[in-house]
Amino acid sequence: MIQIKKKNPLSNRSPQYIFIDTNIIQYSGDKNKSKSQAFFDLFDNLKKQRYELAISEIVIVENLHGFYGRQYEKAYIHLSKFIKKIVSENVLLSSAQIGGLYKDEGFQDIEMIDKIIAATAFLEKSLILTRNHKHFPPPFFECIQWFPVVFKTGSYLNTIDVCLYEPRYKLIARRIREKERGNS
Amino acid sequence: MNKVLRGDKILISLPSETKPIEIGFGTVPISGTSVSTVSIEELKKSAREISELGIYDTDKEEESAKQ
Repeated sequence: MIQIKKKNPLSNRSPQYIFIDTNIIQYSGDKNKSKSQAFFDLFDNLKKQRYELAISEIVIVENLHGFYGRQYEKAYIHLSKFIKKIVSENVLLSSAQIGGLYKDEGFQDIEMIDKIIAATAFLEKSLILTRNHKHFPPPFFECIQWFPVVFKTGSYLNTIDVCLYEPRYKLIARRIREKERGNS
Repeated sequence: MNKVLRGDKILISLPSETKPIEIGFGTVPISGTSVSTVSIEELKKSAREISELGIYDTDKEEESAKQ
Protein backbone atom coordinates (compact mmCIF):
# COMPACT_ATOMS: atom_id res chain seq x y z
CA MET A 1 0.00 0.00 0.00
CA ILE A 2 1.33 3.41 -0.95
CA GLN A 3 1.25 5.93 1.81
CA ILE A 4 0.83 9.53 0.79
CA LYS A 5 2.57 11.84 3.16
CA LYS A 6 0.74 15.07 3.86
CA LYS A 7 2.97 18.06 3.34
CA ASN A 8 3.45 20.17 6.44
CA PRO A 9 2.30 23.70 5.48
CA LEU A 10 5.03 25.15 7.69
CA SER A 11 7.85 23.07 6.21
CA ASN A 12 8.86 25.62 3.55
CA ARG A 13 8.89 28.53 5.96
CA SER A 14 12.04 29.82 7.49
CA PRO A 15 11.77 29.50 11.26
CA GLN A 16 10.83 32.48 13.34
CA TYR A 17 12.80 33.36 16.46
CA ILE A 18 11.34 33.74 19.90
CA PHE A 19 13.66 35.78 22.12
CA ILE A 20 13.62 34.35 25.61
CA ASP A 21 13.74 36.95 28.36
CA THR A 22 16.01 36.58 31.40
CA ASN A 23 13.25 35.54 33.80
CA ILE A 24 12.15 32.65 31.55
CA ILE A 25 15.73 31.35 31.28
CA GLN A 26 15.98 31.38 35.06
CA TYR A 27 12.67 29.54 35.43
CA SER A 28 13.92 26.87 33.03
CA GLY A 29 16.87 26.20 35.36
CA ASP A 30 15.04 26.81 38.61
CA LYS A 31 15.91 24.73 41.67
CA ASN A 32 12.22 23.79 41.80
CA LYS A 33 12.23 20.90 39.30
CA SER A 34 8.48 21.10 38.73
CA LYS A 35 8.85 24.75 37.65
CA SER A 36 11.82 23.96 35.44
CA GLN A 37 9.94 21.06 33.78
CA ALA A 38 6.85 23.20 33.17
CA PHE A 39 8.96 25.69 31.23
CA PHE A 40 10.54 22.89 29.23
CA ASP A 41 7.11 21.70 28.22
CA LEU A 42 6.46 25.24 26.96
CA PHE A 43 9.78 25.33 25.03
CA ASP A 44 8.98 21.95 23.54
CA ASN A 45 5.55 23.15 22.48
CA LEU A 46 7.04 26.25 20.82
CA LYS A 47 9.71 24.22 19.01
CA LYS A 48 6.96 21.96 17.64
CA GLN A 49 5.35 25.08 16.18
CA ARG A 50 8.63 25.64 14.29
CA TYR A 51 9.79 28.52 16.41
CA GLU A 52 13.50 28.75 17.22
CA LEU A 53 14.50 29.73 20.73
CA ALA A 54 17.00 32.57 20.81
CA ILE A 55 18.53 35.03 23.23
CA SER A 56 20.18 38.38 22.81
CA GLU A 57 23.78 38.34 24.01
CA ILE A 58 22.80 41.06 26.48
CA VAL A 59 20.77 38.46 28.40
CA ILE A 60 24.07 36.73 29.27
CA VAL A 61 24.98 39.68 31.51
CA GLU A 62 21.79 39.38 33.55
CA ASN A 63 21.99 35.63 33.86
CA LEU A 64 25.65 35.43 34.89
CA HIS A 65 25.62 38.44 37.16
CA GLY A 66 27.24 37.58 40.49
CA PHE A 67 28.25 34.03 39.60
CA TYR A 68 31.80 32.70 39.71
CA GLY A 69 33.54 29.37 39.26
CA ARG A 70 31.35 26.29 38.74
CA GLN A 71 28.04 28.22 38.92
CA TYR A 72 29.31 30.73 36.34
CA GLU A 73 30.50 27.96 34.03
CA LYS A 74 27.29 25.88 34.26
CA ALA A 75 25.03 28.91 33.80
CA TYR A 76 27.05 29.91 30.71
CA ILE A 77 26.76 26.39 29.29
CA HIS A 78 22.97 26.56 29.73
CA LEU A 79 22.80 29.94 27.96
CA SER A 80 24.93 28.57 25.14
CA LYS A 81 22.23 26.02 24.27
CA PHE A 82 20.08 28.87 22.92
CA ILE A 83 20.76 30.60 19.62
CA LYS A 84 22.66 33.76 20.51
CA LYS A 85 22.20 36.98 18.56
CA ILE A 86 24.89 39.62 18.85
CA VAL A 87 24.36 43.14 20.12
CA SER A 88 25.29 44.72 16.81
CA GLU A 89 25.58 48.41 15.99
CA ASN A 90 22.22 48.19 14.20
CA VAL A 91 20.65 46.71 17.34
CA LEU A 92 22.00 49.58 19.43
CA LEU A 93 20.81 52.17 16.90
CA SER A 94 17.35 50.61 16.81
CA SER A 95 17.14 50.36 20.58
CA ALA A 96 17.86 54.10 20.79
CA GLN A 97 15.02 54.74 18.31
CA ILE A 98 12.55 52.46 20.09
CA GLY A 99 13.55 53.94 23.44
CA GLY A 100 12.83 57.41 22.01
CA LEU A 101 9.39 56.32 20.83
CA TYR A 102 8.58 54.97 24.29
CA LYS A 103 9.80 58.20 25.88
CA ASP A 104 7.35 60.11 23.68
CA GLU A 105 4.60 57.85 25.03
CA GLY A 106 5.59 58.67 28.61
CA PHE A 107 7.55 55.51 29.42
CA GLN A 108 10.75 56.65 31.17
CA ASP A 109 11.74 53.53 33.07
CA ILE A 110 12.22 50.85 30.43
CA GLU A 111 15.66 49.38 31.07
CA MET A 112 18.43 49.42 28.48
CA ILE A 113 18.55 45.61 28.42
CA ASP A 114 14.85 45.44 27.54
CA LYS A 115 15.29 48.04 24.80
CA ILE A 116 18.09 45.93 23.33
CA ILE A 117 15.91 42.79 23.41
CA ALA A 118 13.04 44.79 21.90
CA ALA A 119 15.25 46.11 19.07
CA THR A 120 16.65 42.64 18.35
CA ALA A 121 13.14 41.19 18.07
CA PHE A 122 12.04 44.12 15.90
CA LEU A 123 14.97 43.80 13.48
CA GLU A 124 14.45 40.03 13.26
CA LYS A 125 10.66 40.36 12.84
CA SER A 126 10.45 38.02 15.78
CA LEU A 127 8.71 37.58 19.11
CA ILE A 128 9.62 37.85 22.81
CA LEU A 129 8.65 35.42 25.56
CA THR A 130 8.48 37.04 28.98
CA ARG A 131 6.55 37.28 32.22
CA ASN A 132 7.58 40.92 32.76
CA HIS A 133 4.63 42.47 31.01
CA LYS A 134 5.62 46.03 31.91
CA HIS A 135 8.87 45.74 29.98
CA PHE A 136 7.26 45.51 26.53
CA PRO A 137 4.19 47.74 26.81
CA PRO A 138 1.74 48.93 24.18
CA PRO A 139 1.52 50.59 21.73
CA PHE A 140 4.76 49.16 20.30
CA PHE A 141 4.36 45.58 21.56
CA GLU A 142 1.29 43.45 21.87
CA CYS A 143 0.66 40.15 23.59
CA ILE A 144 -0.40 37.67 20.94
CA GLN A 145 -0.57 34.55 23.10
CA TRP A 146 -0.79 33.81 26.83
CA PHE A 147 0.62 30.67 28.39
CA PRO A 148 -0.43 29.80 31.93
CA VAL A 149 2.58 27.75 33.10
CA VAL A 150 1.45 25.51 35.94
CA PHE A 151 3.89 23.93 38.40
CA LYS A 152 4.03 22.62 41.94
CA THR A 153 5.66 24.25 44.94
CA GLY A 154 5.51 21.62 47.64
CA SER A 155 1.95 20.37 47.50
CA TYR A 156 0.51 23.61 46.08
CA LEU A 157 -0.18 24.36 42.43
CA ASN A 158 1.10 27.69 41.17
CA THR A 159 0.83 29.43 37.83
CA ILE A 160 3.11 31.87 36.07
CA ASP A 161 1.43 33.72 33.23
CA VAL A 162 3.88 34.27 30.42
CA CYS A 163 3.17 35.96 27.18
CA LEU A 164 4.44 36.00 23.64
CA TYR A 165 4.93 39.61 22.61
CA GLU A 166 5.04 40.78 19.05
CA PRO A 167 6.60 44.10 18.07
CA ARG A 168 4.15 46.16 16.03
CA TYR A 169 6.66 46.34 13.20
CA LYS A 170 4.73 48.64 10.90
CA LEU A 171 3.82 51.09 13.65
CA ILE A 172 7.42 51.27 14.92
CA ALA A 173 8.83 51.76 11.40
CA ARG A 174 6.22 54.42 10.55
CA ARG A 175 6.75 56.35 13.77
CA ILE A 176 10.51 56.34 13.23
CA ARG A 177 10.03 57.63 9.66
CA GLU A 178 7.74 60.38 10.94
CA LYS A 179 10.29 61.41 13.56
CA GLU A 180 13.02 61.47 10.91
CA ARG A 181 10.93 63.65 8.61
CA GLY A 182 10.11 65.99 11.49
CA ASN A 183 13.78 66.41 12.33
CA SER A 184 15.31 66.64 8.84
CA MET B 1 1.11 29.61 14.74
CA ASN B 2 3.73 31.76 13.03
CA LYS B 3 1.73 34.95 13.04
CA VAL B 4 4.06 37.23 11.10
CA LEU B 5 3.28 37.46 7.42
CA ARG B 6 6.61 37.20 5.68
CA GLY B 7 5.26 38.98 2.60
CA ASP B 8 5.00 42.25 4.50
CA LYS B 9 8.16 44.14 3.60
CA ILE B 10 9.25 46.65 6.20
CA LEU B 11 12.20 48.86 5.34
CA ILE B 12 14.04 51.00 7.86
CA SER B 13 16.87 53.49 7.55
CA LEU B 14 19.82 53.34 9.89
CA PRO B 15 22.84 55.69 9.80
CA SER B 16 25.14 52.64 9.77
CA GLU B 17 23.69 51.44 6.46
CA THR B 18 24.07 53.15 3.08
CA LYS B 19 20.53 52.20 2.01
CA PRO B 20 17.32 51.16 3.81
CA ILE B 21 17.34 47.59 5.12
CA GLU B 22 14.47 45.17 5.26
CA ILE B 23 13.77 43.83 8.73
CA GLY B 24 13.33 40.07 9.01
CA PHE B 25 14.90 36.71 9.71
CA GLY B 26 18.71 36.97 9.80
CA THR B 27 18.97 40.76 10.10
CA VAL B 28 20.94 40.41 13.35
CA PRO B 29 24.02 38.18 13.08
CA ILE B 30 24.39 35.06 15.19
CA SER B 31 27.24 35.08 17.71
CA GLY B 32 30.38 33.21 16.70
CA THR B 33 29.94 30.84 19.64
CA SER B 34 26.25 30.17 19.00
CA VAL B 35 24.49 26.94 18.14
CA SER B 36 22.46 27.14 14.91
CA THR B 37 19.44 25.29 16.28
CA VAL B 38 18.17 24.57 19.77
CA SER B 39 18.05 21.00 21.01
CA ILE B 40 15.45 20.63 23.75
CA GLU B 41 17.28 17.56 25.05
CA GLU B 42 20.60 19.45 25.33
CA LEU B 43 18.82 22.35 26.97
CA LYS B 44 17.16 20.01 29.47
CA LYS B 45 20.50 18.45 30.31
CA SER B 46 22.16 21.78 31.10
CA ALA B 47 19.07 22.99 32.96
CA ARG B 48 19.08 19.88 35.13
CA GLU B 49 22.69 20.60 36.10
CA ILE B 50 22.01 24.20 37.12
CA SER B 51 18.78 23.19 38.83
CA GLU B 52 20.77 20.77 40.98
CA LEU B 53 23.32 23.46 41.79
CA GLY B 54 20.41 25.66 42.94
CA ILE B 55 21.71 28.71 41.07
CA TYR B 56 18.28 30.09 40.27
CA ASP B 57 15.84 30.28 43.16
CA THR B 58 13.25 32.48 41.48
CA ASP B 59 10.66 32.17 44.30
CA LYS B 60 13.15 33.65 46.74
CA GLU B 61 14.27 36.37 44.32
CA GLU B 62 10.70 37.42 43.52
CA GLU B 63 9.82 37.47 47.20
CA SER B 64 12.77 39.73 48.04
CA ALA B 65 12.00 41.97 45.03
CA LYS B 66 8.48 42.54 46.43
CA GLN B 67 9.82 43.64 49.83
